[in-house]
Amino acid sequence: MTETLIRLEQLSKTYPGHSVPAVESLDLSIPDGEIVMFIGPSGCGKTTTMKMINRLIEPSSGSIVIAGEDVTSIDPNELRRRVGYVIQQVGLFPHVRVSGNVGAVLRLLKWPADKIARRVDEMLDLVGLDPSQYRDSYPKQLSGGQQQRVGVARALAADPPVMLMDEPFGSVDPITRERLQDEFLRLQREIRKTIVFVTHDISEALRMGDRIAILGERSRVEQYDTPGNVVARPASDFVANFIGANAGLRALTLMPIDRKNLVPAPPEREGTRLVYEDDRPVGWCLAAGAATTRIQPLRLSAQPVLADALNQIVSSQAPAAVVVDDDGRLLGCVDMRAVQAAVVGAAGNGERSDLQMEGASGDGTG
Amino acid sequence: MSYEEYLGFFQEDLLRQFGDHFAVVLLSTLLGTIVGVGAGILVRHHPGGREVVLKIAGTMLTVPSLALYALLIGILGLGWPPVLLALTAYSLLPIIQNTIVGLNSVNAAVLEAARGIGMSDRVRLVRVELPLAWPVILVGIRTAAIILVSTAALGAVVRGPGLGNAIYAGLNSIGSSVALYQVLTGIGGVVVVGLLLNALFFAVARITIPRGIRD
Repeated sequence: MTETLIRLEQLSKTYPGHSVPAVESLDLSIPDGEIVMFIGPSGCGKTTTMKMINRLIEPSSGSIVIAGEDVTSIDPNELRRRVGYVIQQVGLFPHVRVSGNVGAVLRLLKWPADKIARRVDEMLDLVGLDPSQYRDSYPKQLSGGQQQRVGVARALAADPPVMLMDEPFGSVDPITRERLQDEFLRLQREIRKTIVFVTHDISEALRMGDRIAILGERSRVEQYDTPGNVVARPASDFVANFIGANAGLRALTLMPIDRKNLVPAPPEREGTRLVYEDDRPVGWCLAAGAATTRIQPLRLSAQPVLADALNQIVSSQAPAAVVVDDDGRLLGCVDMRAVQAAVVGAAGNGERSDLQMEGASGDGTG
Repeated sequence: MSYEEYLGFFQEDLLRQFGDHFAVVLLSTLLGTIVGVGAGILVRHHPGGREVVLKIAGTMLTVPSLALYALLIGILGLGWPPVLLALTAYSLLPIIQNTIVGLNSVNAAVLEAARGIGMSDRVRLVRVELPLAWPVILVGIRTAAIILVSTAALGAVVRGPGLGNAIYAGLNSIGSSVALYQVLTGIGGVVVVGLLLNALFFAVARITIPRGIRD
Protein backbone atom coordinates (compact mmCIF):
# COMPACT_ATOMS: atom_id res chain seq x y z
CA MET A 1 0.00 0.00 0.00
CA THR A 2 1.53 3.29 -1.04
CA GLU A 3 1.97 5.86 1.65
CA THR A 4 -0.21 8.94 1.66
CA LEU A 5 1.75 12.10 0.97
CA ILE A 6 -1.01 14.70 0.92
CA ARG A 7 -4.10 14.57 3.04
CA LEU A 8 -6.94 17.01 2.59
CA GLU A 9 -9.11 17.01 5.70
CA GLN A 10 -12.58 18.55 5.66
CA LEU A 11 -11.29 21.18 3.28
CA SER A 12 -13.78 23.93 2.54
CA LYS A 13 -13.84 27.21 0.70
CA THR A 14 -16.67 29.70 0.67
CA TYR A 15 -16.06 32.97 -1.08
CA PRO A 16 -17.23 36.09 0.79
CA GLY A 17 -20.66 37.15 -0.35
CA HIS A 18 -21.54 33.68 -1.60
CA SER A 19 -24.00 31.52 0.31
CA VAL A 20 -22.93 28.28 -1.34
CA PRO A 21 -19.41 26.92 -0.75
CA ALA A 22 -17.17 26.40 -3.76
CA VAL A 23 -15.60 23.41 -2.01
CA GLU A 24 -17.43 21.64 0.77
CA SER A 25 -15.76 19.48 3.42
CA LEU A 26 -13.48 17.61 1.08
CA ASP A 27 -11.61 14.57 2.37
CA LEU A 28 -8.99 13.15 0.06
CA SER A 29 -5.71 11.27 0.38
CA ILE A 30 -3.11 11.55 -2.35
CA PRO A 31 -0.61 8.69 -2.40
CA ASP A 32 3.12 9.25 -2.62
CA GLY A 33 4.62 9.12 -6.09
CA GLU A 34 1.33 9.02 -7.98
CA ILE A 35 -0.43 11.29 -10.43
CA VAL A 36 -3.92 12.08 -9.19
CA MET A 37 -6.18 13.72 -11.75
CA PHE A 38 -8.86 16.14 -10.62
CA ILE A 39 -11.60 16.23 -13.19
CA GLY A 40 -15.15 17.44 -13.21
CA PRO A 41 -17.54 19.84 -14.91
CA SER A 42 -16.80 23.58 -15.01
CA GLY A 43 -17.32 25.24 -11.68
CA CYS A 44 -17.02 22.05 -9.65
CA GLY A 45 -14.11 23.53 -7.72
CA LYS A 46 -11.28 21.36 -8.98
CA THR A 47 -8.88 24.25 -9.57
CA THR A 48 -9.94 25.89 -6.31
CA THR A 49 -9.20 22.68 -4.45
CA MET A 50 -5.81 22.32 -6.08
CA LYS A 51 -4.91 25.91 -5.29
CA MET A 52 -5.72 25.34 -1.65
CA ILE A 53 -2.93 22.79 -1.49
CA ASN A 54 -0.35 25.51 -2.00
CA ARG A 55 -2.64 28.08 -0.43
CA LEU A 56 -2.84 30.39 -3.38
CA ILE A 57 -6.42 30.23 -2.25
CA GLU A 58 -6.68 30.10 1.52
CA PRO A 59 -9.15 27.50 2.80
CA SER A 60 -12.12 28.74 4.80
CA SER A 61 -11.79 25.72 7.03
CA GLY A 62 -10.20 22.32 7.16
CA SER A 63 -6.55 21.37 6.88
CA ILE A 64 -3.87 20.28 4.48
CA VAL A 65 -1.24 17.83 5.65
CA ILE A 66 1.83 17.20 3.50
CA ALA A 67 4.25 14.44 4.53
CA GLY A 68 2.84 14.49 8.02
CA GLU A 69 3.21 18.26 8.42
CA ASP A 70 0.12 20.42 8.83
CA VAL A 71 0.76 23.22 6.37
CA THR A 72 -2.52 25.03 6.77
CA SER A 73 -1.08 27.84 8.85
CA ILE A 74 2.61 28.04 8.00
CA ASP A 75 4.08 30.87 5.92
CA PRO A 76 2.44 30.41 2.51
CA ASN A 77 5.48 31.61 0.56
CA GLU A 78 7.68 29.10 2.34
CA LEU A 79 5.17 26.38 1.48
CA ARG A 80 5.04 27.38 -2.18
CA ARG A 81 8.79 27.11 -2.53
CA ARG A 82 8.40 23.44 -1.71
CA VAL A 83 5.54 22.82 -4.13
CA GLY A 84 6.01 22.87 -7.87
CA TYR A 85 3.33 24.86 -9.72
CA VAL A 86 2.59 24.67 -13.43
CA ILE A 87 -0.28 26.58 -15.03
CA GLN A 88 -1.93 26.50 -18.42
CA GLN A 89 -0.71 29.88 -19.60
CA VAL A 90 2.78 28.94 -18.35
CA GLY A 91 3.53 32.38 -16.88
CA LEU A 92 7.23 32.52 -17.69
CA PHE A 93 8.89 35.81 -16.73
CA PRO A 94 9.27 37.51 -20.12
CA HIS A 95 11.99 39.89 -19.01
CA VAL A 96 14.26 37.07 -17.86
CA ARG A 97 16.09 34.43 -19.87
CA VAL A 98 15.22 30.74 -19.72
CA SER A 99 18.04 30.19 -17.22
CA GLY A 100 16.62 32.89 -14.98
CA ASN A 101 13.16 31.42 -15.21
CA VAL A 102 14.23 27.88 -14.39
CA GLY A 103 16.43 29.10 -11.56
CA ALA A 104 13.81 31.45 -10.09
CA VAL A 105 12.90 29.32 -7.06
CA LEU A 106 16.54 28.43 -6.45
CA ARG A 107 17.36 32.12 -6.27
CA LEU A 108 14.57 32.56 -3.70
CA LEU A 109 16.12 29.70 -1.75
CA LYS A 110 19.46 31.52 -1.92
CA TRP A 111 21.40 28.82 -3.68
CA PRO A 112 24.90 29.86 -4.82
CA ALA A 113 25.11 30.96 -8.44
CA ASP A 114 27.22 28.10 -9.72
CA LYS A 115 24.93 25.52 -8.14
CA ILE A 116 21.95 27.25 -9.75
CA ALA A 117 23.63 27.21 -13.16
CA ARG A 118 24.37 23.49 -12.93
CA ARG A 119 20.87 22.68 -11.78
CA VAL A 120 19.31 24.80 -14.55
CA ASP A 121 21.20 22.83 -17.19
CA GLU A 122 20.20 19.58 -15.53
CA MET A 123 16.53 20.55 -15.57
CA LEU A 124 16.61 21.71 -19.18
CA ASP A 125 18.10 18.35 -20.17
CA LEU A 126 15.38 16.61 -18.19
CA VAL A 127 12.60 18.32 -20.12
CA GLY A 128 14.25 17.77 -23.46
CA LEU A 129 15.70 21.22 -24.16
CA ASP A 130 19.38 21.45 -25.08
CA PRO A 131 20.84 23.79 -22.43
CA SER A 132 23.51 25.25 -24.71
CA GLN A 133 20.83 26.22 -27.17
CA TYR A 134 18.07 27.38 -24.87
CA ARG A 135 19.46 28.61 -21.58
CA ASP A 136 20.07 32.14 -22.87
CA SER A 137 16.88 32.47 -24.88
CA TYR A 138 14.03 34.69 -23.86
CA PRO A 139 10.54 33.19 -23.49
CA LYS A 140 9.20 35.07 -26.48
CA GLN A 141 11.69 33.24 -28.69
CA LEU A 142 10.18 29.86 -27.78
CA SER A 143 7.17 27.98 -29.09
CA GLY A 144 4.23 27.23 -26.80
CA GLY A 145 5.38 23.68 -26.23
CA GLN A 146 8.92 24.78 -25.44
CA GLN A 147 7.66 27.42 -23.04
CA GLN A 148 5.67 24.86 -21.12
CA ARG A 149 8.72 22.58 -20.92
CA VAL A 150 10.55 25.50 -19.32
CA GLY A 151 7.57 25.92 -17.00
CA VAL A 152 7.86 22.30 -15.92
CA ALA A 153 11.63 22.66 -15.50
CA ARG A 154 11.07 25.69 -13.31
CA ALA A 155 8.62 23.77 -11.16
CA LEU A 156 11.00 20.84 -10.76
CA ALA A 157 14.17 22.83 -10.11
CA ALA A 158 14.01 22.81 -6.32
CA ASP A 159 13.11 19.10 -6.36
CA PRO A 160 9.79 19.57 -4.57
CA PRO A 161 8.03 16.41 -3.43
CA VAL A 162 4.69 17.73 -4.66
CA MET A 163 3.68 19.24 -7.99
CA LEU A 164 0.45 21.01 -8.81
CA MET A 165 -0.46 21.21 -12.47
CA ASP A 166 -3.47 23.16 -13.70
CA GLU A 167 -4.32 22.04 -17.25
CA PRO A 168 -0.64 22.45 -18.14
CA PHE A 169 -0.94 21.16 -21.69
CA GLY A 170 -4.23 22.87 -22.43
CA SER A 171 -2.96 25.72 -24.54
CA VAL A 172 -0.96 23.78 -27.11
CA ASP A 173 -2.16 21.97 -30.20
CA PRO A 174 -3.31 18.33 -29.82
CA ILE A 175 -0.20 16.85 -31.44
CA THR A 176 2.16 18.77 -29.19
CA ARG A 177 -0.08 17.99 -26.25
CA GLU A 178 0.19 14.26 -26.82
CA ARG A 179 3.96 14.51 -27.14
CA LEU A 180 4.20 16.53 -23.94
CA GLN A 181 1.97 14.02 -22.16
CA ASP A 182 4.14 11.12 -23.35
CA GLU A 183 7.33 12.84 -22.30
CA PHE A 184 5.88 13.84 -18.98
CA LEU A 185 4.83 10.26 -18.25
CA ARG A 186 8.31 9.09 -19.13
CA LEU A 187 9.78 11.76 -16.86
CA GLN A 188 7.45 10.76 -14.05
CA ARG A 189 8.62 7.16 -14.30
CA GLU A 190 12.10 8.50 -13.50
CA ILE A 191 11.35 11.09 -10.86
CA ARG A 192 8.19 9.72 -9.24
CA LYS A 193 6.77 12.99 -7.95
CA THR A 194 3.43 13.26 -6.19
CA ILE A 195 1.29 15.20 -8.63
CA VAL A 196 -2.15 16.75 -8.51
CA PHE A 197 -3.21 17.38 -12.08
CA VAL A 198 -6.36 19.31 -12.96
CA THR A 199 -7.93 18.65 -16.33
CA HIS A 200 -11.28 18.88 -18.02
CA ASP A 201 -10.31 16.30 -20.66
CA ILE A 202 -11.39 12.78 -19.71
CA SER A 203 -9.00 11.25 -22.23
CA GLU A 204 -6.10 13.07 -20.64
CA ALA A 205 -7.29 11.94 -17.21
CA LEU A 206 -7.50 8.32 -18.25
CA ARG A 207 -4.15 8.47 -19.99
CA MET A 208 -2.09 10.29 -17.37
CA GLY A 209 -3.66 9.41 -14.05
CA ASP A 210 -2.67 6.71 -11.65
CA ARG A 211 -5.88 7.67 -9.91
CA ILE A 212 -8.75 9.88 -10.95
CA ALA A 213 -10.92 11.96 -8.63
CA ILE A 214 -14.17 12.81 -10.36
CA LEU A 215 -15.50 15.89 -8.65
CA GLY A 216 -19.06 17.08 -8.73
CA GLU A 217 -20.72 20.18 -7.35
CA ARG A 218 -18.79 21.81 -4.49
CA SER A 219 -15.96 19.39 -5.24
CA ARG A 220 -17.97 16.47 -3.91
CA VAL A 221 -15.97 13.33 -4.68
CA GLU A 222 -18.17 11.29 -7.00
CA GLN A 223 -15.52 8.62 -7.51
CA TYR A 224 -11.86 8.29 -6.62
CA ASP A 225 -10.29 5.28 -8.24
CA THR A 226 -7.95 3.96 -10.89
CA PRO A 227 -8.83 4.82 -14.49
CA GLY A 228 -9.72 1.20 -15.19
CA ASN A 229 -12.22 1.05 -12.37
CA VAL A 230 -13.71 4.44 -13.15
CA VAL A 231 -14.44 3.33 -16.69
CA ALA A 232 -15.55 -0.23 -15.96
CA ARG A 233 -17.36 0.37 -12.68
CA PRO A 234 -18.65 3.94 -12.56
CA ALA A 235 -19.90 4.74 -9.07
CA SER A 236 -22.90 6.73 -10.23
CA ASP A 237 -24.82 7.99 -13.24
CA PHE A 238 -22.92 11.25 -12.89
CA VAL A 239 -19.63 9.43 -13.40
CA ALA A 240 -20.97 7.26 -16.21
CA ASN A 241 -22.27 10.33 -18.02
CA PHE A 242 -19.01 12.07 -17.46
CA ILE A 243 -16.98 9.23 -18.95
CA GLY A 244 -19.24 9.41 -21.91
CA ALA A 245 -20.71 7.05 -24.45
CA ASN A 246 -17.47 5.44 -25.53
CA ALA A 247 -16.71 3.85 -22.19
CA GLY A 248 -16.20 0.47 -23.79
CA LEU A 249 -13.65 1.75 -26.30
CA ARG A 250 -11.95 3.86 -23.68
CA ALA A 251 -11.59 0.81 -21.47
CA LEU A 252 -9.62 -0.90 -24.21
CA THR A 253 -7.01 1.84 -24.20
CA LEU A 254 -6.33 1.10 -20.57
CA MET A 255 -6.03 -2.67 -20.67
CA PRO A 256 -2.58 -4.04 -21.46
CA ILE A 257 -2.42 -7.22 -23.52
CA ASP A 258 -1.61 -10.11 -21.28
CA ARG A 259 -0.40 -13.57 -22.26
CA LYS A 260 -3.73 -14.86 -21.04
CA ASN A 261 -5.47 -12.87 -23.81
CA LEU A 262 -3.49 -14.73 -26.46
CA VAL A 263 -4.80 -17.59 -28.57
CA PRO A 264 -2.87 -19.66 -31.12
CA ALA A 265 -2.80 -18.43 -34.72
CA PRO A 266 -6.05 -19.32 -36.45
CA PRO A 267 -5.80 -22.21 -38.95
CA GLU A 268 -6.28 -21.45 -42.63
CA ARG A 269 -9.94 -20.84 -43.39
CA GLU A 270 -11.47 -19.94 -46.78
CA GLY A 271 -8.09 -18.80 -47.99
CA THR A 272 -7.35 -16.58 -45.02
CA ARG A 273 -4.09 -17.43 -43.32
CA LEU A 274 -1.18 -15.90 -41.47
CA VAL A 275 1.86 -15.35 -43.67
CA TYR A 276 5.37 -16.00 -42.39
CA GLU A 277 8.76 -14.92 -43.61
CA ASP A 278 11.83 -16.44 -42.06
CA ASP A 279 9.65 -18.06 -39.38
CA ARG A 280 8.27 -14.68 -38.39
CA PRO A 281 4.67 -13.50 -39.03
CA VAL A 282 4.57 -10.52 -41.38
CA GLY A 283 1.03 -10.30 -42.62
CA TRP A 284 -2.13 -12.01 -43.77
CA CYS A 285 -3.31 -13.52 -46.94
CA LEU A 286 -6.96 -12.55 -46.86
CA ALA A 287 -8.28 -14.59 -49.75
CA ALA A 288 -7.02 -17.40 -51.93
CA GLY A 289 -4.38 -16.02 -54.28
CA ALA A 290 -4.48 -12.51 -52.80
CA ALA A 291 -1.31 -10.58 -52.11
CA THR A 292 -0.06 -10.44 -48.53
CA THR A 293 -1.52 -7.64 -46.46
CA ARG A 294 1.43 -6.61 -44.32
CA ILE A 295 0.96 -5.73 -40.67
CA GLN A 296 3.10 -4.34 -37.89
CA PRO A 297 2.94 -7.11 -35.25
CA LEU A 298 2.60 -5.92 -31.67
CA ARG A 299 5.71 -6.50 -29.56
CA LEU A 300 4.60 -7.72 -26.15
CA SER A 301 7.54 -6.05 -24.42
CA ALA A 302 6.32 -2.65 -25.68
CA GLN A 303 3.24 -3.09 -23.47
CA PRO A 304 0.56 -2.76 -26.14
CA VAL A 305 -3.04 -2.37 -25.04
CA LEU A 306 -6.17 -4.08 -26.29
CA ALA A 307 -7.05 -0.94 -28.21
CA ASP A 308 -3.90 -1.50 -30.29
CA ALA A 309 -5.10 -5.03 -31.02
CA LEU A 310 -8.54 -3.79 -32.03
CA ASN A 311 -6.92 -1.15 -34.20
CA GLN A 312 -4.85 -3.76 -36.01
CA ILE A 313 -7.84 -6.04 -36.56
CA VAL A 314 -9.95 -3.24 -37.95
CA SER A 315 -7.31 -1.75 -40.23
CA SER A 316 -5.90 -5.00 -41.60
CA GLN A 317 -9.34 -6.64 -41.96
CA ALA A 318 -7.72 -9.75 -40.49
CA PRO A 319 -9.40 -12.09 -38.04
CA ALA A 320 -6.94 -11.29 -35.24
CA ALA A 321 -4.06 -9.08 -34.13
CA VAL A 322 -0.60 -10.63 -34.04
CA VAL A 323 1.63 -10.43 -30.96
CA VAL A 324 5.34 -11.25 -31.17
CA ASP A 325 8.36 -11.36 -28.91
CA ASP A 326 11.44 -9.15 -29.25
CA ASP A 327 12.77 -11.51 -31.88
CA GLY A 328 9.69 -11.11 -34.03
CA ARG A 329 8.50 -14.64 -33.40
CA LEU A 330 4.83 -15.38 -32.85
CA LEU A 331 3.64 -15.42 -29.25
CA GLY A 332 -0.05 -15.61 -30.09
CA CYS A 333 -3.03 -13.74 -31.50
CA VAL A 334 -5.71 -11.56 -30.04
CA ASP A 335 -9.04 -12.10 -31.75
CA MET A 336 -12.30 -10.12 -31.47
CA ARG A 337 -13.71 -12.57 -28.98
CA ALA A 338 -10.80 -11.90 -26.63
CA VAL A 339 -11.29 -8.13 -27.00
CA GLN A 340 -15.01 -8.34 -26.25
CA ALA A 341 -14.49 -10.66 -23.30
CA ALA A 342 -12.00 -8.26 -21.79
CA VAL A 343 -14.40 -5.31 -21.99
CA VAL A 344 -17.36 -7.19 -20.63
CA GLY A 345 -15.43 -9.03 -17.96
CA ALA A 346 -13.64 -7.63 -14.94
CA ALA A 347 -11.68 -4.50 -15.91
CA GLY A 348 -8.82 -3.00 -13.93
CA ASN A 349 -6.84 -6.24 -14.11
CA GLY A 350 -6.83 -6.48 -10.33
CA GLU A 351 -4.16 -3.74 -10.14
CA ARG A 352 -4.28 -1.58 -7.09
CA SER A 353 -7.21 -3.36 -5.62
CA ASP A 354 -5.66 -2.07 -2.43
CA LEU A 355 -7.56 1.10 -3.23
CA GLN A 356 -10.78 -0.75 -2.57
CA MET A 357 -9.64 -1.15 0.99
CA GLU A 358 -9.78 2.62 1.39
CA GLY A 359 -13.52 2.67 1.95
CA ALA A 360 -15.75 0.43 -0.09
CA SER A 361 -17.51 3.35 -1.74
CA GLY A 362 -14.23 4.45 -3.29
CA ASP A 363 -14.61 7.99 -2.04
CA GLY A 364 -10.98 8.20 -1.05
CA THR A 365 -11.45 8.68 2.67
CA GLY A 366 -9.09 6.95 5.04
CA MET B 1 25.84 93.68 -34.04
CA SER B 2 26.04 90.49 -36.07
CA TYR B 3 24.97 87.15 -34.75
CA GLU B 4 28.54 85.90 -34.46
CA GLU B 5 29.44 88.97 -32.44
CA TYR B 6 26.44 88.42 -30.23
CA LEU B 7 27.39 84.81 -29.62
CA GLY B 8 30.98 85.75 -28.87
CA PHE B 9 29.80 88.31 -26.33
CA PHE B 10 27.18 86.17 -24.57
CA GLN B 11 28.82 82.78 -25.00
CA GLU B 12 29.57 82.19 -21.34
CA ASP B 13 26.10 83.21 -20.22
CA LEU B 14 24.39 81.11 -22.85
CA LEU B 15 26.39 78.00 -22.11
CA ARG B 16 25.72 78.37 -18.40
CA GLN B 17 22.03 78.84 -19.03
CA PHE B 18 22.02 75.81 -21.33
CA GLY B 19 23.69 73.66 -18.67
CA ASP B 20 21.41 74.98 -15.93
CA HIS B 21 18.33 74.35 -18.04
CA PHE B 22 19.35 70.76 -18.66
CA ALA B 23 20.23 70.27 -15.00
CA VAL B 24 17.05 71.73 -13.54
CA VAL B 25 14.90 69.61 -15.84
CA LEU B 26 16.85 66.44 -15.03
CA LEU B 27 16.86 67.10 -11.33
CA SER B 28 13.12 67.83 -11.15
CA THR B 29 12.42 64.78 -13.28
CA LEU B 30 14.48 62.67 -10.92
CA LEU B 31 12.67 64.03 -7.86
CA GLY B 32 9.35 63.61 -9.62
CA THR B 33 10.26 60.00 -10.44
CA ILE B 34 11.07 59.19 -6.84
CA VAL B 35 7.87 60.74 -5.52
CA GLY B 36 5.67 59.71 -8.44
CA VAL B 37 6.73 56.08 -8.77
CA GLY B 38 6.54 55.75 -4.99
CA ALA B 39 3.03 57.16 -4.92
CA GLY B 40 1.99 54.99 -7.85
CA ILE B 41 3.24 51.85 -6.11
CA LEU B 42 1.38 52.74 -2.92
CA VAL B 43 -2.02 53.39 -4.50
CA ARG B 44 -2.05 50.95 -7.41
CA HIS B 45 -4.44 48.52 -5.71
CA HIS B 46 -6.64 51.12 -4.00
CA PRO B 47 -9.20 52.75 -6.30
CA GLY B 48 -9.93 55.45 -3.69
CA GLY B 49 -6.30 56.31 -3.16
CA ARG B 50 -5.70 56.31 -6.91
CA GLU B 51 -8.48 58.84 -7.45
CA VAL B 52 -7.12 61.19 -4.80
CA VAL B 53 -3.51 61.03 -5.90
CA LEU B 54 -4.26 61.45 -9.58
CA LYS B 55 -6.61 64.32 -8.86
CA ILE B 56 -3.99 66.16 -6.82
CA ALA B 57 -1.32 65.64 -9.45
CA GLY B 58 -3.69 66.70 -12.18
CA THR B 59 -4.76 69.84 -10.35
CA MET B 60 -1.17 70.87 -9.83
CA LEU B 61 -0.65 70.62 -13.54
CA THR B 62 -3.55 72.94 -14.29
CA VAL B 63 -2.16 75.75 -12.18
CA PRO B 64 -0.46 78.06 -14.69
CA SER B 65 3.27 77.91 -14.14
CA LEU B 66 3.65 81.64 -13.84
CA ALA B 67 1.15 81.68 -11.01
CA LEU B 68 2.78 78.73 -9.32
CA TYR B 69 6.22 80.32 -9.46
CA ALA B 70 4.81 83.54 -8.07
CA LEU B 71 3.09 81.72 -5.22
CA LEU B 72 6.25 79.88 -4.32
CA ILE B 73 8.37 83.03 -4.05
CA GLY B 74 6.79 83.63 -0.71
CA ILE B 75 7.92 80.28 0.66
CA LEU B 76 11.10 79.58 -1.19
CA GLY B 77 12.39 82.89 -2.43
CA LEU B 78 13.90 83.37 -5.86
CA GLY B 79 16.19 81.27 -8.05
CA TRP B 80 16.46 77.47 -8.13
CA PRO B 81 14.18 76.39 -5.21
CA PRO B 82 10.78 77.57 -6.46
CA VAL B 83 11.55 76.39 -9.98
CA LEU B 84 12.67 72.97 -8.78
CA LEU B 85 9.59 72.50 -6.63
CA ALA B 86 7.19 73.70 -9.29
CA LEU B 87 8.75 71.53 -11.99
CA THR B 88 8.70 68.50 -9.72
CA ALA B 89 5.02 69.11 -9.05
CA TYR B 90 4.34 69.32 -12.80
CA SER B 91 6.14 66.10 -13.51
CA LEU B 92 3.97 64.03 -11.19
CA LEU B 93 0.84 63.39 -13.21
CA PRO B 94 2.34 61.52 -16.16
CA ILE B 95 4.74 59.62 -13.91
CA ILE B 96 2.11 58.50 -11.39
CA GLN B 97 -0.39 57.70 -14.12
CA ASN B 98 2.06 55.57 -16.06
CA THR B 99 3.31 53.85 -12.93
CA ILE B 100 -0.20 52.78 -12.01
CA VAL B 101 -1.10 51.71 -15.53
CA GLY B 102 2.22 49.94 -16.05
CA LEU B 103 2.04 47.98 -12.80
CA ASN B 104 -1.59 47.06 -13.24
CA SER B 105 -1.15 45.78 -16.75
CA VAL B 106 1.44 43.16 -15.94
CA ASN B 107 0.27 39.82 -17.32
CA ALA B 108 -1.89 38.01 -14.77
CA ALA B 109 -0.41 34.60 -15.53
CA VAL B 110 3.08 35.92 -14.83
CA LEU B 111 1.93 37.31 -11.49
CA GLU B 112 0.24 34.05 -10.61
CA ALA B 113 3.36 32.10 -11.48
CA ALA B 114 5.42 34.47 -9.33
CA ARG B 115 3.09 33.90 -6.39
CA GLY B 116 3.02 30.18 -7.07
CA ILE B 117 6.76 29.76 -6.81
CA GLY B 118 6.78 31.43 -3.42
CA MET B 119 7.72 35.05 -4.06
CA SER B 120 6.58 37.39 -1.30
CA ASP B 121 4.68 40.52 -2.33
CA ARG B 122 7.75 42.72 -1.98
CA VAL B 123 10.06 40.41 -3.92
CA ARG B 124 7.44 40.10 -6.61
CA LEU B 125 7.15 43.88 -6.88
CA VAL B 126 10.88 44.36 -7.23
CA ARG B 127 11.79 41.38 -9.40
CA VAL B 128 8.71 41.00 -11.58
CA GLU B 129 6.22 43.86 -11.53
CA LEU B 130 8.53 46.87 -11.66
CA PRO B 131 10.82 45.45 -14.37
CA LEU B 132 7.81 44.56 -16.49
CA ALA B 133 6.11 47.92 -15.89
CA TRP B 134 9.36 49.82 -16.48
CA PRO B 135 8.91 50.47 -20.23
CA VAL B 136 5.57 52.15 -19.55
CA ILE B 137 6.87 54.03 -16.52
CA LEU B 138 9.85 55.25 -18.54
CA VAL B 139 7.50 56.69 -21.15
CA GLY B 140 5.73 58.59 -18.36
CA ILE B 141 9.02 59.95 -17.07
CA ARG B 142 10.06 61.01 -20.55
CA THR B 143 6.72 62.74 -21.13
CA ALA B 144 7.16 64.61 -17.89
CA ALA B 145 10.69 65.66 -18.84
CA ILE B 146 9.57 67.01 -22.20
CA ILE B 147 6.82 69.03 -20.53
CA LEU B 148 9.36 70.39 -18.08
CA VAL B 149 11.72 71.57 -20.80
CA SER B 150 9.42 74.35 -21.92
CA THR B 151 7.88 74.99 -18.51
CA ALA B 152 11.33 75.58 -17.10
CA ALA B 153 11.80 78.48 -19.47
CA LEU B 154 9.17 80.45 -17.59
CA GLY B 155 11.20 80.09 -14.43
CA ALA B 156 13.14 83.12 -15.53
CA VAL B 157 10.32 85.20 -14.14
CA VAL B 158 11.53 84.30 -10.63
CA ARG B 159 15.19 84.53 -11.61
CA GLY B 160 15.32 80.80 -11.99
CA PRO B 161 17.96 78.90 -13.95
CA GLY B 162 17.98 78.20 -17.64
CA LEU B 163 17.51 79.58 -21.12
CA GLY B 164 14.33 81.34 -20.13
CA ASN B 165 16.61 84.10 -19.00
CA ALA B 166 17.85 84.70 -22.53
CA ILE B 167 14.30 84.71 -23.85
CA TYR B 168 13.10 87.10 -21.16
CA ALA B 169 16.04 89.37 -21.58
CA GLY B 170 15.25 89.54 -25.26
CA LEU B 171 11.55 90.19 -24.70
CA ASN B 172 12.28 92.88 -22.16
CA SER B 173 14.54 94.77 -24.53
CA ILE B 174 12.52 94.74 -27.74
CA GLY B 175 13.97 97.28 -30.10
CA SER B 176 17.58 96.75 -29.06
CA SER B 177 19.95 95.19 -31.55
CA VAL B 178 20.27 91.90 -29.71
CA ALA B 179 16.68 91.37 -28.61
CA LEU B 180 15.86 89.09 -31.50
CA TYR B 181 19.10 87.15 -31.10
CA GLN B 182 18.35 86.61 -27.42
CA VAL B 183 14.87 85.29 -28.01
CA LEU B 184 15.78 83.05 -30.94
CA THR B 185 18.87 81.65 -29.28
CA GLY B 186 16.93 81.02 -26.11
CA ILE B 187 14.24 79.16 -27.99
CA GLY B 188 16.77 77.27 -30.10
CA GLY B 189 18.64 76.26 -26.99
CA VAL B 190 15.48 74.97 -25.36
CA VAL B 191 14.77 72.88 -28.44
CA VAL B 192 18.28 71.42 -28.31
CA VAL B 193 17.80 70.58 -24.63
CA GLY B 194 14.65 68.74 -25.63
CA LEU B 195 16.44 66.81 -28.36
CA LEU B 196 19.26 65.84 -26.05
CA LEU B 197 16.81 64.65 -23.45
CA ASN B 198 15.06 62.51 -26.04
CA ALA B 199 18.38 60.96 -26.98
CA LEU B 200 19.17 60.36 -23.32
CA PHE B 201 15.87 58.58 -22.73
CA PHE B 202 16.39 56.49 -25.83
CA ALA B 203 19.74 55.39 -24.48
CA VAL B 204 18.31 54.67 -21.03
CA ALA B 205 15.58 52.55 -22.60
CA ARG B 206 18.09 50.61 -24.63
CA ILE B 207 20.23 49.92 -21.60
CA THR B 208 17.56 49.18 -19.01
CA ILE B 209 14.91 47.27 -20.95
CA PRO B 210 15.84 43.60 -21.49
CA ARG B 211 15.56 42.17 -24.97
CA GLY B 212 12.86 39.80 -23.81
CA ILE B 213 10.35 42.61 -23.43
CA ARG B 214 11.58 45.01 -26.05
CA ASP B 215 9.03 45.46 -28.82
